[in-house]
Amino acid sequence: MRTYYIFSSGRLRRMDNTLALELETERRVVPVEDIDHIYCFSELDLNTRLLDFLAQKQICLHFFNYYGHYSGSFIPRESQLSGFLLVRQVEHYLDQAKRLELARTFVEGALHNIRRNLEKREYDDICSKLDEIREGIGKTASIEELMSLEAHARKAYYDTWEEITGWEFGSRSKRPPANALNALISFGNAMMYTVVLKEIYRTALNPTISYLHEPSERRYSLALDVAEIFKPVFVDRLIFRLINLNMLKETHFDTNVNFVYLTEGGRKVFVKEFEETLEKTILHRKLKRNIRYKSLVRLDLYKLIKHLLGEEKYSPMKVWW
Amino acid sequence: MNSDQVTELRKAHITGTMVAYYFICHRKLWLFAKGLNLENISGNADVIKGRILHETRFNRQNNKEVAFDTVKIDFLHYNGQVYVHEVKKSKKFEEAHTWQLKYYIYMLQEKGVNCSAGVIHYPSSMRREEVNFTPGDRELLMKALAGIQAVLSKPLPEKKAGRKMCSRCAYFDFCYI
Ligand code: SF4
Repeated sequence: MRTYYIFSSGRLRRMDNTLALELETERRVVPVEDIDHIYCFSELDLNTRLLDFLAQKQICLHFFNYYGHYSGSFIPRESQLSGFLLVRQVEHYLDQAKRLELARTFVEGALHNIRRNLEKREYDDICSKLDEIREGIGKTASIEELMSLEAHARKAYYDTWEEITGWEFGSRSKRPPANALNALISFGNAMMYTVVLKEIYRTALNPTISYLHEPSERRYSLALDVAEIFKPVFVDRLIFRLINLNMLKETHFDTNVNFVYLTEGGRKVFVKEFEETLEKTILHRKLKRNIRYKSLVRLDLYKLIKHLLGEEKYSPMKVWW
Repeated sequence: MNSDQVTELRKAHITGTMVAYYFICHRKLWLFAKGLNLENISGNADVIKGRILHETRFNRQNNKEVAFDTVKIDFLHYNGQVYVHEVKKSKKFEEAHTWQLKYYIYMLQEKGVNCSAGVIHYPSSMRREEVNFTPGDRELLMKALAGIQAVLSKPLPEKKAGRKMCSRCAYFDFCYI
């Protein structure tokens, strides 16, 4: 299954059993059978006939605005439903102890993967600081406490970014991103979110019920929970690589009066490499076969389901390479 | 089994697939019945092949697919008697498929339809197996239906089977991760 990225404006429509992207000067026809995500970074005209077709073919359509900010997704109607699992999901949210246990696991997984990024670069002092913070995870008594612990860890982590990348960073700024590095993180995190979301929709998990993030957040917050684990591995590593290999330069960013955003050229570089990251394979030690990076997300959702069923405690993906 | 129990079973929405899974793997049966159906999302080539096969095999035959209650039948053949047909991709789980078909026959009989036989088609090996429903089968089937209910009433799925067949199962990743 492939992901398509649309950077040019035009009309996307259904043409018999295929998709046609009609641009001013040409028409491109794409067979639908091997598409599973379409990312749209430009202005598109489309109609409900197209959406109906995409739903039928289980294709997600994600929209980003002119500045590369994530606007939202069209996700096909859920085909997987399990009242049984939903009840368990809610139960694990309502029971404070159960919720905290899961929330801690997400943070624990995220911090492990963050630490691995620093360990490779021999930031021993920050690594031991992260270890200290990690030890505190088990003692947290509330989600707020856990969140603030995580914020501490993230700050220590981000403090190394100027050195790792050689780019200005300051601190994490989201809405809007104040500099190129922040713009890159926001963009990468949004991409990761959509990938997790798509996988959640393929399972019977309900994406609105989450544990670390509040379900009341306007987004499908379970995707935010799970994305925490994968961001350090899929997004952060990619950012370091793109900058260190000089594949992304200052010229790939537009500095608006108030904020910075990735230009079309910059987005193209990023998504191409992101796509390659997702398709990379690695020998899975437990399943004893090669699996794609993106399948790691699906496997973590399986583990989460097993936890919710009460079969086996969830242990998040901890990067081993 | 008395008629009350039979009504009870109907309520439990036992499908033909569930009957087959009962004879294949109780864990698979439990997961499937709870809505944790992984068949649609697995990249497993066998599963996809099976689905495509199921969708296309009899397209050219002019017979309708008939469905009632929880039963789905590929087509019925009217030759004085009604025959249930099922298409399967391999003979690996022949016993399970046979019971699935017998369950359909039983459901038809319950509806007062004159049916006591069917055919399982294996187009990939160009074979067909006739299945006859005997009075003894009825008793065995009742036992199986009760067994299915027992599996489904458990709070947790059965432990994984740990057999060679797991490697080709759509639930493999789920069970072994
Ligand atoms: S992988 Fe094995 S244990 Fe799991 S459902 Fe399939 S057959 Fe059963």
